[in-house]
Amino acid sequence: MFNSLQFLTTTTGFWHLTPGMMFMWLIGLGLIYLAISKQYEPLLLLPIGFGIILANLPLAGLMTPEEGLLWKFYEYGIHWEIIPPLIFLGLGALTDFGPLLSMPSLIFLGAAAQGGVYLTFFIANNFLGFDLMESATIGIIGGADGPTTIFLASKLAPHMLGICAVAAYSYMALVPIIQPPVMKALTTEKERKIRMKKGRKINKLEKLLFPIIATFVIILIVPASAPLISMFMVGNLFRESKVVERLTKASQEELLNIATIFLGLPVGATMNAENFLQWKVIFIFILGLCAFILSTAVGVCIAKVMNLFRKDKINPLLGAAGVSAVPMAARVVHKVGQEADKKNYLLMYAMGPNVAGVIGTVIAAGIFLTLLQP
Amino acid sequence: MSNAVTVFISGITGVFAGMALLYFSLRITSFITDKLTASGADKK
Repeated sequence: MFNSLQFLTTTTGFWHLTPGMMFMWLIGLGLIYLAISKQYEPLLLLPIGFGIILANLPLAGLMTPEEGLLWKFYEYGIHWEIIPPLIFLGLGALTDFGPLLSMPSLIFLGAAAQGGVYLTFFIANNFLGFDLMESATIGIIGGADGPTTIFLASKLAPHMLGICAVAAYSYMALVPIIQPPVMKALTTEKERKIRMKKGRKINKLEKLLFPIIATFVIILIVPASAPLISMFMVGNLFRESKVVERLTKASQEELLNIATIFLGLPVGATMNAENFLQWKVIFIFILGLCAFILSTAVGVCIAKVMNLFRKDKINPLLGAAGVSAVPMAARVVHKVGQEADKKNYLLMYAMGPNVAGVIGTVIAAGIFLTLLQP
Repeated sequence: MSNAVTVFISGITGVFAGMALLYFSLRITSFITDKLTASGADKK
């Protein structure tokens, strides 16, 4: 009788609990709290937080290879490159490239912000001892694009996937706090007051041709970016064609929502106590912040450099929208611009580099994959 | 296996080259679609 009771006790999860697991519960609960109470990226941080708790319940086996439910979501959803491209399909169907097409030169601000990605990559590799693949995964956090971060991490450094995803989404939620001091430090009040010249009028044919041309150009240059770019552009083609309303709506809503659920839970579940409770994690979070700051700074600086060669000056704040946190970064640009001049409306202009930033981050990730994938 | 400097330089160059090519493709597309639109308006 006593032996049976003792055996029963050892089969419960309580018997196998470790302090590390309980610490991870606190992290998971903390993310759930931030998602619900502060509404910081709730669509992702809520399932990620819950996934962390699930992965740290002893004997639950949800991440047991070949058997666990969340392991299957991870393996067939993320490792097989299914979920991040599906998210991109939905994002493409939601994206309006109009602001970018009306002022195509703003595309370079989307490229400029990737400077922060590569600078952070360099710092992580040379000064903090991360290997090349880990450094690339940390650097891409600066692109402020969650699905791309997850896509790249699953290929180059799967052990860092959860941490990098949480860092990316946390900092994306903190864009309104992180970016303004950098933007103000690098611009004068006079520069922040610059009003943009109205962009050219674009026609429907142009919007329709853009996803097709972009697909050709980007995939021919960086074939490794194909899974994300192809889905992004087909989603946009659905939207602009105006003939497949059902597909557009499904991509924008149901499919995107389902993919988000199946992305968040397994990403959170990759964060077990063994992976997470290391000194390196602190460096990853610091470097992630550093990547965001550098991307913002490089974007603003390149906008100022562009002004040296332009007759119609651009507001250098737009450079900060090159990080692809859509549309948060564009809103921040608009807000900071209005602090200098209440009648300066920068939102639509900022959406140009903002969507260019998404493309830029995917190209940056594709280049990392091309150069580093074993 | 590439080293960090190579990846750094190739990466930045690659992103700017890619975006530049996309930019020129857009400019050419705009030019053509503007011409098509204008010729369509002329016919009317």
